[in-house]
Amino acid sequence: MRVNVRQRQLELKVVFYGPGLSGKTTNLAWLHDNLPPEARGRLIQLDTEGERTLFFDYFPYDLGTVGDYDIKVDFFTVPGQSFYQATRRAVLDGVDGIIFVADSAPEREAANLLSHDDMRAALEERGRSLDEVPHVYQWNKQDLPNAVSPSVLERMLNPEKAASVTAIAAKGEGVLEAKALVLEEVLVHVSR
Amino acid sequence: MSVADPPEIVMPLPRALVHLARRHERDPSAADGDEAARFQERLARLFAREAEAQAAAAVDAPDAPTPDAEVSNRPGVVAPSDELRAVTHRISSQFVDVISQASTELLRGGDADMALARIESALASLGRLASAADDARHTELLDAMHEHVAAYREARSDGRGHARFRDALRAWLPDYATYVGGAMGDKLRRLVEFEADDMPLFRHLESVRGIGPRRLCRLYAAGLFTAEAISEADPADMAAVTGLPRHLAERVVTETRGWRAEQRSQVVLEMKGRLMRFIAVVRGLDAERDPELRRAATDAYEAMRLIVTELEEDHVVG
Repeated sequence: MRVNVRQRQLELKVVFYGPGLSGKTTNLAWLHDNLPPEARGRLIQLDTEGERTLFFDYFPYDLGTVGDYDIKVDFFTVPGQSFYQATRRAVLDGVDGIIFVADSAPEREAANLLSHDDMRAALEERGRSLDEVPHVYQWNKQDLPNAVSPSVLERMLNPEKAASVTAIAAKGEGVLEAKALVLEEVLVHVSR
Repeated sequence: MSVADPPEIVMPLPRALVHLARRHERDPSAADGDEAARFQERLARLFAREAEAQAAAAVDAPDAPTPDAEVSNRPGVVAPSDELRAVTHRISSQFVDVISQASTELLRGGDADMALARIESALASLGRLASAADDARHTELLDAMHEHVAAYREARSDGRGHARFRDALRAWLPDYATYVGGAMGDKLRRLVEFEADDMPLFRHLESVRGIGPRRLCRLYAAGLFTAEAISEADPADMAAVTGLPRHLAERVVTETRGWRAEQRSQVVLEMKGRLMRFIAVVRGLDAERDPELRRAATDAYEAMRLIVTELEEDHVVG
């Protein structure tokens, strides 16, 4: 959370986390395309030639003015492949809210778990725990014919019973819901 | 409705308060009072506290630049926040490491083509980050380094190119260090010739059939600069990100793991050798004249012996 006194602006950061190809960029891009144009800034995507996220995707989102203060949210994604750990740490630093995008394909079970562990470890390296950071889960790709059921994913990844939503991000389903859930959690957390 | 009754204008709630209202609707039991009011109170406290902290900092360091960037907001345009630039700076540190290592290798007379390829790849990645953050100063510095590299490529054959590049690098590094600041900047300022640990790996990979400098550049372009990152990579992910054929990605990962295991074995053997030399020193200490020193040295030897034994068990040494 950044407090910009001169601009009277509160800046919050929400990061889409998850294994490679789980739908983080899809979520962010869909969100950008479907939020009011006057409320969001330019979408920045730093990816490889193969259109995989190399560094991050980003856009700022205006949450309006409350009293005398402007509230802005920075949405980031991280690269999901295991060898981009340093970049993920750099993006996650100072995060205010996380949307964990899980891949419901059964062959991605291990990748989901590894990514989840990596997220926990990244927070702990900064002296934080997942319990302290507002976060929600998105069970993406639920349209796959053999998709792992949300109840199984809940048991595997969400023992803390944080808010969750099923999604088919490629069609925009569950994207706005995940965004709304995490922003609610973040704003309530800020209020405390 | 009459002229005397002006229409009630209902202003839409700021989006932040809409979210808080929805939270209350979704889970009334979790809400503790008026979330919107609490949010506003908290905002006021946060800003008051931050303003105090900045005022105190200004008293302690009156010449320091004020922390809040001036953001030129055109109406209707949501500008990127300072966090975007902060994130790009943090990511940049990995590539600054690469420039440091490759520059060292180059100046030590190592493989110039490989070192230049790594420098240019790192500069390209840094350029993308600087451009994404609209960081004009960063872009300017990187452009200057690009020019030095280009000049070196042209002048290599005349024998003076190496010296000119060395001078240009030594002038550029302090400027860049001042710009990046912090621990990264300190590292650049202290740049001396240290072992470029990963260069031997890339020489080894170049010798693998089917790899070669061009394909190695694909690894660099994908941010895979270190033995650790490559050895822990999933070959399928590596192939997808770099464009390497899957079988080559598997070979790269396998070769790198083998290379690392061999390096670790050599380190363990070297440590054993040093330990033997150290025990000879310990035995040479006079137990009557320097009892504390002898005791401390013996304790240190025992601790090191345990560590080397554990390392030997973890890394089978031939």
